[in-house]
Amino acid sequence: MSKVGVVIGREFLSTVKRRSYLIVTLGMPFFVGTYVALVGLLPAYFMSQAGRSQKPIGVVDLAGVIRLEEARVIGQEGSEAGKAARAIADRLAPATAQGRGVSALLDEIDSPVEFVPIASKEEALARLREGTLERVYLLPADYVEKGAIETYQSDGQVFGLGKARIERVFARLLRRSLSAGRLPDEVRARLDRPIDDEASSSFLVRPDGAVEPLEDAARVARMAVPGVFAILLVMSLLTSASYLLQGVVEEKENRVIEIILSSVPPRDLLFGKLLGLGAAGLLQLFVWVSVASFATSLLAAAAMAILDWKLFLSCFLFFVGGFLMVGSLMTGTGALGTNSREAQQYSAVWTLCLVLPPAMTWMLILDDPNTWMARALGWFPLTGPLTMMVRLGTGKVAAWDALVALLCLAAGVYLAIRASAALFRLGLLMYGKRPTLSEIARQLRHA
Amino acid sequence: MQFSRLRKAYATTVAVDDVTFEVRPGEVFGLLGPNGAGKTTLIRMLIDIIAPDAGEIRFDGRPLGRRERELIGYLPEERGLYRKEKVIDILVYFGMLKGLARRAARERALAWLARVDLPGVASRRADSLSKGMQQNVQIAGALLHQPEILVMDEPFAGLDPLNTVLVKDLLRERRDAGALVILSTHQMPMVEELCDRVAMIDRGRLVLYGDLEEIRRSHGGSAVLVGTDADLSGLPPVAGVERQGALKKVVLSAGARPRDLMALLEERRIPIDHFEVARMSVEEIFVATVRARAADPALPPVVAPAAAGGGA
Repeated sequence: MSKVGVVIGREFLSTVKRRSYLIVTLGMPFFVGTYVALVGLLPAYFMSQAGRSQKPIGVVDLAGVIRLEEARVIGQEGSEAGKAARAIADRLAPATAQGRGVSALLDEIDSPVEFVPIASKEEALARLREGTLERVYLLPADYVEKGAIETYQSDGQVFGLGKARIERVFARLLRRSLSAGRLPDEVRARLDRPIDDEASSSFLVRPDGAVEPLEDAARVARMAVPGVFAILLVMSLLTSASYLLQGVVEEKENRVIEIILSSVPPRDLLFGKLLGLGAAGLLQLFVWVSVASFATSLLAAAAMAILDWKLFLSCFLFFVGGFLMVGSLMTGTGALGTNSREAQQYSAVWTLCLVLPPAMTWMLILDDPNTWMARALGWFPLTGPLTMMVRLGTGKVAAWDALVALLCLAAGVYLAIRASAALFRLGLLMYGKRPTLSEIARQLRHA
Repeated sequence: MQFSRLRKAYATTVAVDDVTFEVRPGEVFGLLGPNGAGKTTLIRMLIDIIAPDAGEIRFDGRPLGRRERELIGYLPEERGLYRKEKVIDILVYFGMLKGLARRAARERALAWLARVDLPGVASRRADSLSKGMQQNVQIAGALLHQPEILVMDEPFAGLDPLNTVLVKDLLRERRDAGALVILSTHQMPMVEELCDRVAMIDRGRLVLYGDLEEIRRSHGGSAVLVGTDADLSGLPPVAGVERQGALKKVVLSAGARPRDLMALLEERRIPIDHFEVARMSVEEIFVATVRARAADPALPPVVAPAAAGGGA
């Protein structure tokens, strides 16, 4: 086995066997699950309970506008948003317990609204005070002329998710009632729903004049691949960083480093640590993503959407390059710290360099991925991985452009590993003291 | 192993300056010098942790490379173990880094633990061992792959007398097996007992080099032990007299030789019943050499005749 292989094996195994690693790796999904249950599902449950016990809405119609038969029909219909949310849940997690759970929850939140006609304002207010009505809408006699209505509600009902929906449903009830008998049925239906999204279509006009159907879903699916890789890159660097830095500083603190360096050149040691500890970080990430059942469903959906293997491969190469680039720089600069805290402070700058520029410009890059700025950020090795993932997702980047970015990244990885090995060598042998800037510059020149 | 014209400078200091010497198989070679003299830098260049600015180190006629690195067993002065790991795992890792297969590394680790009187600690975590036990584990780690080149930096620091004897035996074993053993230490009695040849570094420069017996012999003419009741302090070649048991240790003035004193004693018919050229201890030579360099940094290095093939 090569020396790098021995280092990879040792770093990986010694990390994954640690009690702290096992607790964090296996305990995190449990913790997050419990947290989500407490913070997310419990309020949703109580909200649904509130929805279930929702009281009727009183309507005092002094203008004689409301058609009661319309109120019965509209009140039973769910909202468009509720339907869409249910459709997404059914698609992503069709036969799972989680999917059924979400659908049931949406049913509860999106429960029917019951309208009750009341003869007078006094009677309506009395019933509101008694607590038998949720709220009261009063249409004055001159409503058709002026459009003004009065709304009455009890304390504690000012806000709430249900309020907006009730208002939407009541507005629809008014539209349907006002047009009843005055317009043909088909016009009334159109007035109720001026644009039917399901029946509508969009087209893309190419510069050469060709007109193609604009498939938003396909575009979203195409962006899903780079999106997943971008998230994985950032998350894997964040999770691996602590292991990388801990692994570097540990040998320094334990005074083992000279024995190790008498057997392994610093560059091989750096590379072995990077891959071994990086693999431990990735394994942790994999466990978390797998255990989180929602994420599993999302990944499955994304995997189904992957039709373009070239895009997948390109994103994978940028992922690996980005990990090696930033990971080695983090490790090299981390070795300059005298303890774990300092090492993390030194190395944090590289994550920022990787993430910040693309994070600030991704909207512009999506608009036009071939501007000089998009190209420069894509070709610069440090910002390249994430920028190129965004650019490639648009499907408008030429092959030569992506190849140049990949070559620049490869060169960047090579230089980063050389420079990091030099810093690593310098930092590892300095027990308890920081190297000066001139020492760092001198070491980098020799690299 | 030839160290040829090695030089290494840091930002403001020259740590090693034009140092040349040779270490031979089958000998224990002492690398001596005061604190900050450049010994650690020299050793780090040997094990290729730092690169020299000039000069080179050759082993068996070839520059030191990856293959030669596997022949080195090294016990640094700044040493430790992975505190939270099992002793056996640490030793197997060290062995594999030296090119042993996992199984062989494990077998040898267990054998070496038994050899350093720690047969039952394989499954214990390193931080559960005493400091002395940890040091023995480190020594086992350095010897695990039966190195042809053994470099030990202060191996006796912190050892009890029993373990000191054990380490001395191990060093002699490696020497007798034909290995090249480099011992860096401040414990001069150990140097006298173990080393065949030595090199002394001071302020980065080689100041003393050669066969230890030759060096002691060459430094032996500056004092004599005389058995007499007469007062010798006023004699011309005498710089000082001090009592040493039943004898007097007569320190000769610069340029005077023992035979000059003997001739004077005969000429003046001063009765004596003992006359012996005093052999300086390594410690005395060490101190005298460092002080002489401090007084005159331009002094050339002292190279004992038997140091053929090396020297600055």
